[in-house]
Amino acid sequence: MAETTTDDKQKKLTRRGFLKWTTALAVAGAGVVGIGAGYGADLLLRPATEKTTTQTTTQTATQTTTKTATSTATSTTTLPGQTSTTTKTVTQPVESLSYVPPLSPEIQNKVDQLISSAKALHDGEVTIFTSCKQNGCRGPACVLKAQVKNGVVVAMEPDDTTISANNPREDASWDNVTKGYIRRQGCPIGMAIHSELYMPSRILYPMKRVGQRGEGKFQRISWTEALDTIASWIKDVKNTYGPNSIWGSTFGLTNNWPGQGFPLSHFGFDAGLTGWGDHSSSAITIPRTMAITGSTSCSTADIFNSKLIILWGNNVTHTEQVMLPYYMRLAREKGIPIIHIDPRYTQTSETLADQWIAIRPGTDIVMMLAMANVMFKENLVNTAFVNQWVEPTGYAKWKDYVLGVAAGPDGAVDRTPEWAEKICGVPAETIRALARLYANSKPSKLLFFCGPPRSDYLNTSRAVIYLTALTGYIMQPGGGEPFMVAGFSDPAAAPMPSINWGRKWSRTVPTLLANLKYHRAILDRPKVDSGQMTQADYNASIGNKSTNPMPNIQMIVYDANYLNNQFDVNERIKAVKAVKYVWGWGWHQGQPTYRYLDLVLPAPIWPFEDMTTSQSNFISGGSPGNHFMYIASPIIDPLGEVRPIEWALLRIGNRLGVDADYNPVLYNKVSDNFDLSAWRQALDAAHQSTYETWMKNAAIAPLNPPSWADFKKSPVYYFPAKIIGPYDPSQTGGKPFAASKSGGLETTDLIEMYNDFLAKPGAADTTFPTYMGNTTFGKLGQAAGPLPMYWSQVYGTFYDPRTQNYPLILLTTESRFRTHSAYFNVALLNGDCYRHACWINPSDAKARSIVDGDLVRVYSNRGEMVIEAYVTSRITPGVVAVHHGGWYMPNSTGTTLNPDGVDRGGAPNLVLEDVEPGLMTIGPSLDKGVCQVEKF
Amino acid sequence: MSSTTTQYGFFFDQSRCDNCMACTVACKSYHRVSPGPAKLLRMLEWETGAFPSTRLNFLFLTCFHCANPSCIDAAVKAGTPGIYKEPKYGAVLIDPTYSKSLRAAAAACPYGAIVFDSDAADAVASKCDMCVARLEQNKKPACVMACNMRALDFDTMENLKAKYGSATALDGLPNSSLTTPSLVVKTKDPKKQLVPYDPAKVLALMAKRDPLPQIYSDPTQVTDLSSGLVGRSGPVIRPANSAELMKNSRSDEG
Repeated sequence: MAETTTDDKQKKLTRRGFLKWTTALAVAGAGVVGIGAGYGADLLLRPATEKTTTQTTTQTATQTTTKTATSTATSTTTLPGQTSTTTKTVTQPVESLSYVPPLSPEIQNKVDQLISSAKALHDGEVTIFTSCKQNGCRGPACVLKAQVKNGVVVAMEPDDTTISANNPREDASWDNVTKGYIRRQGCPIGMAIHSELYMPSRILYPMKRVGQRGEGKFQRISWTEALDTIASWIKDVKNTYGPNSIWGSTFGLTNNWPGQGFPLSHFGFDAGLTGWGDHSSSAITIPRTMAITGSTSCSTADIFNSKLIILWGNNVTHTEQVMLPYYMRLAREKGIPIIHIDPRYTQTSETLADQWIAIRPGTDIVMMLAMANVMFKENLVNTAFVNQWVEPTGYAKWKDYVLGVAAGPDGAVDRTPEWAEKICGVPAETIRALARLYANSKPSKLLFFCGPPRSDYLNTSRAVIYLTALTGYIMQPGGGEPFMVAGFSDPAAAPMPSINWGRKWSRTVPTLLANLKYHRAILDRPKVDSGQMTQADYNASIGNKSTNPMPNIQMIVYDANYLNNQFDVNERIKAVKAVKYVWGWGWHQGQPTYRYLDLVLPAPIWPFEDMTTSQSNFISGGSPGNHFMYIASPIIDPLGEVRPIEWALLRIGNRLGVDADYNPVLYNKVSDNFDLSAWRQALDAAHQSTYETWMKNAAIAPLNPPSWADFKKSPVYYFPAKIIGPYDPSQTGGKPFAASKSGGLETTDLIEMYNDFLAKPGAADTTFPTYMGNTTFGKLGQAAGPLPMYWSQVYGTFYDPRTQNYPLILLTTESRFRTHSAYFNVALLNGDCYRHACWINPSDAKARSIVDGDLVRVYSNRGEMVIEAYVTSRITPGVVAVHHGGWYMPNSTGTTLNPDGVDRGGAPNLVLEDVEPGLMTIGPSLDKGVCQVEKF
Repeated sequence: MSSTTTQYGFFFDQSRCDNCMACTVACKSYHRVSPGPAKLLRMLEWETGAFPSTRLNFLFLTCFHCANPSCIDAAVKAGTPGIYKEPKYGAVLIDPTYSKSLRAAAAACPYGAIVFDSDAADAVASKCDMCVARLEQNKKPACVMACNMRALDFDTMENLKAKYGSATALDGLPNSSLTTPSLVVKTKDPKKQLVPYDPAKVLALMAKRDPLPQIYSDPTQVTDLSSGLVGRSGPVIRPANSAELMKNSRSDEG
């Protein structure tokens, strides 16, 4: 690694020292040349004291006031912590000046000057609307005001004009709430994103590696050299290793890409493979497909129809900061009871919920089974609903299992609350009462999220659906299925405009692995080649169908900070070092993935420099909302030689002979000589024609959308939500659970509690289509069966036998101040708003002589990091948490666990281990594993 | 004593706040304040109670543009000009030109509203200016408009009191009779037991991990919270220095 300024053995780092150290690392990136170091950095500094320039001629040390009596009275009041200055003898006024109204003329003059100077700070600013639209945010694509002055973004401001202008409380009108006519003014990230633009660490030019992978030593090259090099590498790797040798990460630059893998793989040069699976919500969406086929739209405002809301592992305040927490809060203010079940007491528990119930991570299934047990025994099941909508054979099997008639992996056990409490830590009487309250509060909304199913998603994520089926709430207004994932999917009254580039797809990219297994595909391939492993075993271990060709990955294309953001980072680093070529886009020096690239292209900061990588500049939001759209105009000229991703792909595509197919609209308007104004003209024309076609849509025209010219001037357009409940018959054609939509995972048009699919021999080797590609589980791992059941001692859970050595369960949870790892380096957030720390309960802290603020070493047999401890009663004993997306910032000392250096940034994926492919449809942003913590 | 023609102020609904900090970042962005202790607006968060009966407390803390601003009195007494209460909005404004001599005035504020960009002798003082430049454009302050939970409002005190009542007391806030802050508040909600939940039983259950070793041997290991063990166990309104200010005005949610 690059230079470091800290001796690793120095154990008593102050926080300030620590920050300096990490900042130095972020900026270091040894040997980097060509970066516009310091460019614009001064813009982030407070202007020099905003002094008034007027001479202050009248006042000296003897100034005082006409209101002597008042000041004396106040001065005798003792304030907490006040010093003895109040007892000092006061110099009597020699002249009378009033500093409070009515002000003396001199003072009024000074006040006027202060107000003028406050105004002057904003002189010449222009507001341009944008949105941050970063993957990893489940918010509503906020309306952000970028304040631009002389081509520089000087500030972000909350939207205070496009809707509910200047009305901060907004709750005067329920009509507006139900329509979604509510501001999306931005979260703390949205108020800070401009500062990322001008950080000295930004990568502004194409760079080529000059040191070892991981060292972070680069030198600047020209765009032409970069494009030529990449194209020649692609040709070389295809010629040498065949078509299945290029793998591209997804969900970064190619957000919303209609197909995964390296984008150009979908066109005619016939190379590149892809993987299935995402690092998003598949731990709930795959089981949902098995149980109920899919979801249907449901208005967010449907929560106001509920009699009870249970937020189960659903930390709304962190996952959807803008709007949904407000809606939940309004529900509470309307008197709708809300319960939060979670291992941590979060802001959701405090502000949104009436009651918090602590649960051990990974044991949610146990509590769910016990609730079902109570409902079966106390006749709380909605039998009319079950008879109509639940497949009866599976229902009988699951009921038998729950009541202890049929055996599970741990034998035939009556799954009572008394059985459950010892495992999950929730008292039996609490579980029993909750089952009754839930069944009797008709209807209830049970909202689940990606956290609970970290290790046994096939069980937990199906069981929670079955609770909504036993009660029948799943199809009732005020109820619904539990995975209104991105909160909700409010049905829009009309389609959003979307540019059709007319891409001519000419190649089906083969799906040959689970995306999260790309490192194993690389590291284990030599074992097959040397005869130590069979092709079938190899394919199964990486989530590939046994009869498929094997991947032979020799080129990785990273379009995001992917290396940092998935479990088992040290193994992934080994894999990256083993392939022939690694290249991609990078934003900042210090970003972990960047250090391992052979060639890095400078990535635009989306909200300001280019948004084309997500197909177009039309933005529509998540819910509540989804009822507006606007165009994010290019805000500023890209810094340095930052170029649009789409342009770079076109120019690489040109060298491979596929650019005309890749983007028929733009390919002949670009050359290696990037022309910003021509590029923008072409984009503008494409957006205009799309918009003007969209305006004529039968659903849009009656809403009287503004003309293109007017829309560009005022580019935020709202139209109302359709108010519907879940599984609205008009949406589902009477068959909401139709098997035909489920790709074979479900076989009837009913809710299925027993999945035949998983009972059949060879199930793991079956390929089935999902929204995230042709999935083959490969090795299913523990805890997978046709019925959702409790499996004890599952790998990485609270009862993993390895907790004898690594007794704590590490949760990686969603940060409020990042989207995945983006913005970790933004100093207006990290350090200013929050401390990236390891949460630990006082009991676990005391046992290790740790107090808040101590540096601790968090480690497992996979890796280690050093981070500050946050000692808090807000986390369940035996559990620790580090928010997802911290950067791996190694020091210079390699260890057995971390050969490239001990982490000082706080990247929890270093500590988390690999899992079986069948268990890994859940992505890395919500993971867990065993670990130990010790004072550093 | 106030003879301002109009006094504007803030409303803080503690029951709605979820401490997302959008207000503080919007404040720094609008006023171009660098990362660091010159926080014109601080959100304090602290915890009370032991597992599993923990509570979080949030406090919106800035200059409340008091009717009886003790900072001005202190500045005058120290013979220092530089803080004025203007009549149009009732905003208390600071002239950073006088930064060096404003430490005494800062010490006199019960809310710690006057902040310095470092602990150095030549540090620049600053404080909330009520977004007076926005007010001049008929816009409410940046923090208020940035609030995702709609927990904040800004108006004349007369209107605020008519709309939200006149409560000014919050746990942790100094007594409002000291300086008559231009602030109206609503306190956080009590918790309800929708279902029975016995903390003693929870502590007994959470101690065991059969058949694996115990998590802790005695519930007091969870509930005895000696001083300095837990992060932010109370509000620090008037921090002694920049480090203490920073430590007590951030969360651990990232």
